[in-house]
Amino acid sequence: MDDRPAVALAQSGDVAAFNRLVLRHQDAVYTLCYRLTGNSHDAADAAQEAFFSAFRHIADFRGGVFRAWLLRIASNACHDLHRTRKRRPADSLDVARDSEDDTPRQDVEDDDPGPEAEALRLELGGVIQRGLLTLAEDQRLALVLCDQHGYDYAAIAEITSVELGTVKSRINRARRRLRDFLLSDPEYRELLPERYRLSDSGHAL
Amino acid sequence: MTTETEHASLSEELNAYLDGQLDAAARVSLERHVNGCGVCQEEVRSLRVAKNVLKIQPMLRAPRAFTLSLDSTAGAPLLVGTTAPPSRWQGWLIWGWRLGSLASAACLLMAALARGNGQASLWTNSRNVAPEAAFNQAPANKSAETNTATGAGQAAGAAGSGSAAGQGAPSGALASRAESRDQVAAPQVAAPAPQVAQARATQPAPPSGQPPVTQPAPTADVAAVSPRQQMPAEPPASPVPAGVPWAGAGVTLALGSAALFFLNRRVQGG
Repeated sequence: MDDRPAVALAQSGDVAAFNRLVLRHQDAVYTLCYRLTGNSHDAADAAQEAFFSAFRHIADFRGGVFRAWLLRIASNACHDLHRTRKRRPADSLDVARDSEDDTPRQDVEDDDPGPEAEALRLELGGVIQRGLLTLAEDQRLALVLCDQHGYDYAAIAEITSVELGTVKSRINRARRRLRDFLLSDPEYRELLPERYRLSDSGHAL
Repeated sequence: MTTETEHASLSEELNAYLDGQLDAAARVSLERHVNGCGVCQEEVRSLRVAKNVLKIQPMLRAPRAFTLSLDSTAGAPLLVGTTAPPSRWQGWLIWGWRLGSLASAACLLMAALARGNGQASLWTNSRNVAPEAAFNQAPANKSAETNTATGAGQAAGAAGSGSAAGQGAPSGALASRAESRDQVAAPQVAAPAPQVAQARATQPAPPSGQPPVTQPAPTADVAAVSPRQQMPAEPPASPVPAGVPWAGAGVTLALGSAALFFLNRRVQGG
């Protein structure tokens, strides 16, 4: 969908037009925030702050892909939130208590896969999230932008403001580490869809 | 035979291959290698699994609408821990402060440069004096340096030599400037004739036991400084060049302003 008309209106101060953009992209922004922060409470805070920041600075948007611009702001918001949490660990404990049953809702594409398949998918999602959290912050961002959001290396370089070679290196390290994490526990391997099962040595079966 | 190290270095290429980020030539070359290498084939398979399990994860649904209300966009802070955009008058205040700081820094720098240029012109003028004038003025400087070294001499002579020698300016013109300062700095003393004052400033009494230094005849330069006796006294010259503290203050203020400017932008989410 073409964002340009709504962006032009938002740049002239039209809050309703900006809110249409928010509704259009908020799932992608929230998903990125969740992958980066690891809990729904922080993800919601970061996403909300990202949209505030985007509105404040929308005059700086000079064209290009609006969603990519939003994701860049969202990743910065997550980074700032992460730094705040490191400075004030008490906040992190509060978030952890609030987020004990922290299973975000997913956009289900399949038609009613059944309760068992749904449970397995949610469990796999939790395992993947734990694996992502073992990665360095910059590697996690690059991998999620590539594999879940489908951006190519050039777009990721622009979103993350680094060189193309750095993106390549980060994705390589992140994906290998995630693979090793999935191999580290037989239970994790059991959760993988059948066509993606891995043997103990990491070989695809 | 491909070594383990070479396989490790191929890892980036394999991931780029999986992501479709290799150009045609690199892709053909890598496929040729992978087809003949069991290790790389398994590496590609396992990395593809890691890629696909993340790829098949559905987008999450936002727990609420993150739309903005008119109130929240009017400048009032809505979220705890977030920075509210500045109101209109705050914005003017911030920009006024920034511009004022920069203007102050610029003024200080210009003042420092002006003072520096003034010294440079004195220096340049002294070097451009006619050979005979320079010859005539040279003993005055020499006597000043001698006076500083021996620590003897009258008060007026000591002050004149201190300023000239302290600034390290071997110029007759500067010595003349110092002598005029000496003359107005001691108004209580009965004012001697200009020629005598000149002689006292540039030719202090030699210490006992030393032959007096030959005093050149007063020149036109000396007569020209007489009207300056009516000007207020200048403060004693510092051994540090006059422009340096001003320049330091200007640079410090400019750097401080720049740092605060960028800090302010960052706090505002810029």
